[in-house]
Order: sequence, then C-alpha cells, then structure tokens
Amino acid sequence: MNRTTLFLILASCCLSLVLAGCTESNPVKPINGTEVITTIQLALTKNGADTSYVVWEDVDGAGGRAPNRIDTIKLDASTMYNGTLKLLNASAIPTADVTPDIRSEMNQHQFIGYDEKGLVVWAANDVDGLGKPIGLSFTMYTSSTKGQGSLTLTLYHYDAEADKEAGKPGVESDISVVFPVVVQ
Amino acid sequence: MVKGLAIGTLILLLALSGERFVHGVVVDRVDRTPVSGVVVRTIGASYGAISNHHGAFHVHVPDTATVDGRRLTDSVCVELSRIGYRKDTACIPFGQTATVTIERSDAHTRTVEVVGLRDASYSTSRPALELTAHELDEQRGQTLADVLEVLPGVTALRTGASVAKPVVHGVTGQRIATSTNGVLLEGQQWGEDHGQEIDPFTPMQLSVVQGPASVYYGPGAMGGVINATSPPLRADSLFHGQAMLNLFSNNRQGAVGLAVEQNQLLAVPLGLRLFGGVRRAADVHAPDYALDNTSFMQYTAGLYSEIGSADSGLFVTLYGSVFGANLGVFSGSHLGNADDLQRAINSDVPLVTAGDPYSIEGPRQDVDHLMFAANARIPIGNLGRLQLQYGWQQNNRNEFDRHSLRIVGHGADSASRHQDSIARLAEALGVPAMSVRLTTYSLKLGLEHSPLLGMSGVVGLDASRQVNRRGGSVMLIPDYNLWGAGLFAHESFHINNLAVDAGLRYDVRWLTAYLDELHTNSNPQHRIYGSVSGGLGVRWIHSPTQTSTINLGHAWRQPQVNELYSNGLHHGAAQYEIGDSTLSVESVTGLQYAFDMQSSPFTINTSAYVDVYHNYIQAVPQPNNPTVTVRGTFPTARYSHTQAVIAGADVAAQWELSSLASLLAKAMVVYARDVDHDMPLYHIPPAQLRLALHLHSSDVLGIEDAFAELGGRLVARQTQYREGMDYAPPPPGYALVDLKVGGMFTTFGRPSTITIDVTNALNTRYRDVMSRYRYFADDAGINFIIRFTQTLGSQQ
Repeated sequence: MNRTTLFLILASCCLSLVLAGCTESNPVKPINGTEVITTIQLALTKNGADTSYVVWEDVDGAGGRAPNRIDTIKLDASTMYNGTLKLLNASAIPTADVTPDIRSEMNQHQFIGYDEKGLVVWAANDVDGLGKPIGLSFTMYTSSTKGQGSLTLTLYHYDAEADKEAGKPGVESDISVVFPVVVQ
Repeated sequence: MVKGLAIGTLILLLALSGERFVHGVVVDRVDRTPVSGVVVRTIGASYGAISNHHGAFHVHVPDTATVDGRRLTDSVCVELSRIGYRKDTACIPFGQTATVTIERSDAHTRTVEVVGLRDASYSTSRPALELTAHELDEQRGQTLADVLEVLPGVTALRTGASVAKPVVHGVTGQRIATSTNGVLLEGQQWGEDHGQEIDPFTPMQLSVVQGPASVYYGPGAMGGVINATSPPLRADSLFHGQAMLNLFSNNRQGAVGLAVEQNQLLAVPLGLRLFGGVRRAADVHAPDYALDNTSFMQYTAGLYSEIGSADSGLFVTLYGSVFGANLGVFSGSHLGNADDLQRAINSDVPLVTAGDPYSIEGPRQDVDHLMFAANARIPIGNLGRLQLQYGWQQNNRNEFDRHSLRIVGHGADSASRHQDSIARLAEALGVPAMSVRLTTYSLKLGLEHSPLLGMSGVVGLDASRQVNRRGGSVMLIPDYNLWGAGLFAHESFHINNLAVDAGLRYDVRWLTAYLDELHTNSNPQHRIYGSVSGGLGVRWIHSPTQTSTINLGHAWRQPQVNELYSNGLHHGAAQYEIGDSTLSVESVTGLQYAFDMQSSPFTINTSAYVDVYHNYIQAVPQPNNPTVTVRGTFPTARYSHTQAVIAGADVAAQWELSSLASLLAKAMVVYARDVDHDMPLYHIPPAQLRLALHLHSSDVLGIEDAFAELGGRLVARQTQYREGMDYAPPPPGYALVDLKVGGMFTTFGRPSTITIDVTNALNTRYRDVMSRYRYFADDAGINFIIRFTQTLGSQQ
C-alpha cells in the first residue's frame, strides 16, 4: 500500500463527510413575534354603572425597556367593585385579544389577586369547567381605612387540572403584575 | 452486596497466609516519567498487577508458587506489556522496589543518550494526571466528569445525574478545554446545565494536561486540558473486543456498550475499531422522593481507524463519532418568575411530584454532536516528523419548554379560533423553544522537530472557523461566525536532574455577531481579540522517588458570545442575564508547585497553586435594577469584569499497610475571591476529603485482582459566602459512605471484570453546593452500581 493510496483513502473519507449533507444552517427556523402578553387591562365598575379602566403595559415585551404604562388603581373606601380582566398583545398588528386563549385553558389556570396591606380584598367570581375559580371576572372590596397599597395579580399555570385548587399558587407563574393602589 | 462481603472476608483470610511481593515503578525509558496501565505478569506463573498512574505496581507471589516446577527463592521475572509500548521483561528480587523501564513502540528515533521525540501532548514538567485503564473501568459512570473526579483537584458541577461539568482548580465551563483526539470539543459550553458531549462508553485514554504543554491545544486552558484520545489499536491481526454492561439502581439505569477492533485488515497496515453504547435512565431518587422528569436517554457510536505504521512512514488515524442525548430537566427547577423560585426554595420537598419514571417531557434538552478528526504524521528526513490534523464537528442543541407560549388562533368565530389555537399549540410544542447549531472546522500543522541543541519539541500553527446558527423563539445567543488562528511552540530539555519545558503561543480571534433575530441586519458586530499565552515548567528530580515541580503560566480567553450579547431569561435560575458587548479578554497568570513522592509504603502527590485573574468575567447581580416584566419582577445580572484570585491545594496519598491492605486519602481546598467587590466567587467547590481502606488480593477463589474498598467522603459547608449573594445559603456539610468490591474472572475462556459499587450506602439526605438542583431537592440517595466487562475475541 503506497502513500498515494493512503492519501486517497483519507481524502475520500473527508469528502464523504462533507457531502453527508451537514449544513451550517439551522433546520429549526427562528420564530419571531410569538404570542406575548403585553397589556393587562382592568375594567372596574362601581355600583353597576360607573366604569373605569386601568392598564399595565410593557409594549416591547419582557426584557428590553421597562414597562411603558402602569396606572394607579384609585378606589373609594368601603366600596365594592366588580371587575373584568382583559389580556392583550399590543405588539401585534392589529392588537390581539389573548383573553379567549386563557379561557380555553381555564381548567389549568387561575388568577389570584392580593394586597399585602389589606386595603383591598380581591375575590374571583367566575368558575372553570370543574367549578374552580378562574379570576377573569372578580370583585374587590375596599376597607374603610384610606391609604396607599398595591395589588399583585398573578396568573398561575397548573400542569394538571387536578393540581389546581382555589386560592393555591401553582408552580409556575405566567403573569405577575403589580398595580399601585390608592384608597381615598 | 452479599457477594461483596464474602469477597471481603476471603481477602482478610488470605492476609493470614504466607505471601511475598515485588514492588516496582515503571518509567518511560527515554523521559523517565511513570507509565500507567502497564500489565505486569510473572513469567511462568499467573500472578500479575497493573501499574497505577504513578507507574507503581505490586505483585503478590504466594510462598507456594513455582515456575517450571521450581520454587521461587529470591527473585521473580515479570513481563511488562502496554498498548503503545514494546513488550519487555525484568527480574526483580523479592522485598525490594525496582525501577523498570519500558520503551514506546514509536520510539525508533530515540536513543537512550538523547532525549528524542515524544508526543507533543506530553508534559515533561509534570506528568499529566492520567487515569489508568482500571480506574476508567471502575469509575465508568453516567458522565465523563464522574470518571474524572477520581483525579486529585477535580470535582464536578452537576445538573442531575445526566449533566456534569468537570471543575479543575476551581474553574469550569469555558475556562477548561476538552480535547478529543487532538481536536477541541466545541459545544455550547457557556451553559451551566450543558454537559460535555462525550459518552463514558467511548474507548479513550483520559488525562488532564496542565502547565506549558497545554499551549499545544489552545490559549484558553486556564484550569487545564481534559485530553481524551483513542487508545492505539493492537498491532496483531487478531479480532479483539469488549462488551460492557452497567446497571444503576438509583435511577433504574441500564447501559450497554461494545467495542471491537482488528488490525492488519486485508493484509495491509489498516486497522479499525468500532464502538457504540446506549443508556436509558429513569428519574433520580433522593432518599425521600423522586425528582420528576430527571430521566434521560443517551447513545454514542463511532469508529477509529489507523492506516500505515506508527513506527515508520506515513501514519494516519481517523476518528468519527456521533453522540446523542435526550435529557429531562427536573420540572421542579423550571420556574416562571422570582416568586415561584422563592416558593420552590422555601419548600422542604419539591413542589412537583414525580410522574412516570421513564418519561422525558418538557422541559428537556435534545443534544447531538457529530465529530470527525483526522491525524496524519510523516517523517521528513532529519528534520523530524510533520503532523497534520483536521477536525470537523457539529453540535445541535434543542431545548424544549415545559409548556409553550399561548398561541392565538385564527378563524371567523370563537370556536374555530379555539380549534386553530390548539392545533398551533400542538405544533409549537414539537418545535424547540431554543435551537442552536454550532459547526466548527479546525486545522493544525505541527513539526515535531529532531533534537536541536539538546531541545526537543513541537512548533506549529492552527486555524479554526466556527459558525453558530439559531432557531426557535428564545434567543439566548445570537448567530455568529468566529475565525481563529494561532502559532505555538513547546520545547523541553534536561540538565542533570532538572527537566525544563516551555510553551508559547499567540492567537487572534475574529468574531462577527448578527444580533438581528431575522438575520437581516446589515450592520453586524465585529470584534477582534488577540493575545499571548504560555508557560515555563521546571521539574527537579531529587531522587528516583521524589520530584518537585514548579509551573508558571499565562492563559487568556475571549469573552464568549453569551457574555457579550445575552439578553434573556434563564428559566432554571429565574434571572435575566444581560451581556456587555464591550468586554475585553480575560487572562490568568498562575503559579503551581507540586511535590510527588513514591517511596514504599507511601505514595504522595501534592500540589498547591495561586491563579490571579485579570478581567475575570462573571454575571454580577443588580439588586437595585431588576427587570420588570408581565411575568413578574426578575433578579437581573450583568456580565462584567473583575479581578479575582483562586488559590488552592490538593493531596492524594496512599499508604500500603501490608501487601493486602492500603489506606487512600484525597483532599482538596479552594479559596476564591472577587477582589474588586471584596466577596467570594460563585461555583467554588468546598473543602473535601475522601478516605478509603482498600483491600486487594491477586487471587480469591479463582477471582483475580480481587479488591474491596470501604470509603467515606466528607464535604465541608462552603463558608466562602456572603449573605444574599445566592438565592439560598450554602447547604450544610455532609458525610457519605461508599463500598466497592470487584475482581477479574474467566468466562467463556476469556477474562471478564465485575465491580459492585454502593454509593451513598447509608442513604444520607444531603445537598451539594455544586449541584444546580440543590435549591429545590436533595441529592441522590443510595445507588447500587454493577459494572461488568467481558473481553471478546483473541486473548493473545
């Protein structure tokens, strides 16, 4: 076996490998502009008539710039409010309403709202297919004390329907936003 | 277990009967460095041993032993054999320690007077820390790092049972290099939960190269080079092989491996080895619970071929391998935001209970690695020998999320939108959230020159090209192209009882990163990095049994792409990591002192080092500037430079109590400080000590080389900690007990070995600070491990 033969073997091995079709490009395409939630909108109704809107918005999505809009929830003391929650993707054109998607997975999701200072008591008033709370529709009662607080609204994800219990946090949070609250 | 105790008892009984022994140290005839893995067998009688990584062996010969019907009175003759070395014989008087020499089979150009050619990977300043074939067999575990942990000063940073990154002298990841058959392994090493893409079933010789010799591999071997090479093929034309079976009780893992080889195929100098292995494991079990979704599947396959003769003319080796793994990530460690993380840490037990033990669901990693390495060596007249090396490798890493992002459906009405949304979600779940493909080409040209003014060594140049392409929805690192070029020289010489070696190299790296997600950016980012690395080592041979070594070295690395451009969420850590594109190179200047002694009954290897890092790159937490997102508020860390010092010492000692029993000890301490911020560094292994009683006998009821070992591992609490620097304070120290028995016997007329190993024998609850799951769950409980190796083919 002479050297030429050996080089030929080596060369053909290299070549076959190159020809094996291993390209540098990635077969998985980059996915851009996937579904994100940029905006949480609360509609709060006092006495069944007087409706106000508050918004939390981070229009460029997670990371990057800080949230562009965080409204303060202004409430009257000793009052009951009925509220509904709307989730939007404002980075899509036109703005997409993501709320129905959460509703379609309601058995594995739950919103929980709370205020550390106890100025506001938050409670869900809708139920999923298994009779457990969802929290897209809720009521808030304000205390008689006036002051400043904050409402933390968290959407928990549950891997299994059985894991979901009323008022119990899941292992993973899909949404967690904080609204400043003023009770006056 | 019962069998193990039986073997142990038998060994003790045997200790009472009469036995004589010969001790020896095998050294290379040319450079006088210890040679491990040498099979030492008495001629005419079947007693033997294998030299350890200090070259030492002990052959036990019973009083009653005879050769050709004659009883042995004052000496015994042994035959020495090892792959890559010429067979040799020596006669050794009983009760004495002899130094025997053995010659490399490719040492045709060497003479005893002149220090001739040697492998460029060889360090004269201190023998590389090398694992013997036996240690490899005994330690072959679930990852490569599990095997390397036997060496003094080496620990591992773990993510469950399937991912472990070796930590050498307090550093890991990009600060150590891994070489396979001369080609540096290039995966996505920036990830703490990204393991090395080498399966332990790959046939290999393993060592850790430190000191000036590391310039041969590249500039960035700050902690050392893990050097895995294919063992040379046997020279004869017979069929050889090995079948391996490993069973692990803790995660119900089964693993099988096979390697077969034959040389002189088609009656020409052409040899081929084929190998493969597959392993499947279920969830890891802590003493009180299972860790959900820590199951995995892994496989490897490959070939190694030698063309020509290593002794003369052109010699070519080809290596090709494929590695694949589908690894589940502990679902209790995958978190939405910092509140989830705190809740998971505060809970004593994982918040996720384990499901089907073998199922691998999201979050998971799907990794494959293709590798090809070609090496050619050719003598060129009186100049020496020319070597050419080509490497091609491709790493595909796909990471799948636990549940995908919600996807809006399209359609006329609510019902059809809902249906469409479900269909799109199902489609999205099959697509990785993060996908990166890294392709690397490398080329090296070296000249192992003939001795010149008493110096021998290698000079050369190398070049590489790397291409990274991403896919999926998560962008942790951008697309990039990286070109590299380097010049290197490594020379060594001897003066009386001093061995001196020096290495020097210069490298340049050109990086082009494409930050635009759609890869349409007309304004890519260009960066150029370049610097010098090298070192000087002096070994002083005080006596045939004692040496001191001093190494002074300098190494650097360019900032990695994630350190420059990362801008995203790490789910496991629930933290935003933000890169800094203006980072400059990190460098280290280190001084190491080692003392090695082999004087019966003691073998002691110690080393101490101080490494001073300039512009050490690390992610610094920004407590005053967290990232506020719709998913919550996240702790945020920014990559930045600091000055750092890492110093430490390690010792490995062996005390032969008698011909049957020895005590082993291994200890290490590492001190690490971020000087600028006056605080400790992250991921530093705590002080630890391993003690073991090792019993060994050449023959117990037909079981050769039988051994039993009772060991204990003591790990201190990591006290280098500042309140608040981590999510949770370091866990308390712990003590573990392990037990191991094994031996060789003959099945189907061929040798086979079996070891039974019980790790964490007392099922102790503990958390290791170097385990990434330690915030959420205990480490693994008791584990019974059976390793069986059957030799196949010819026994000659």
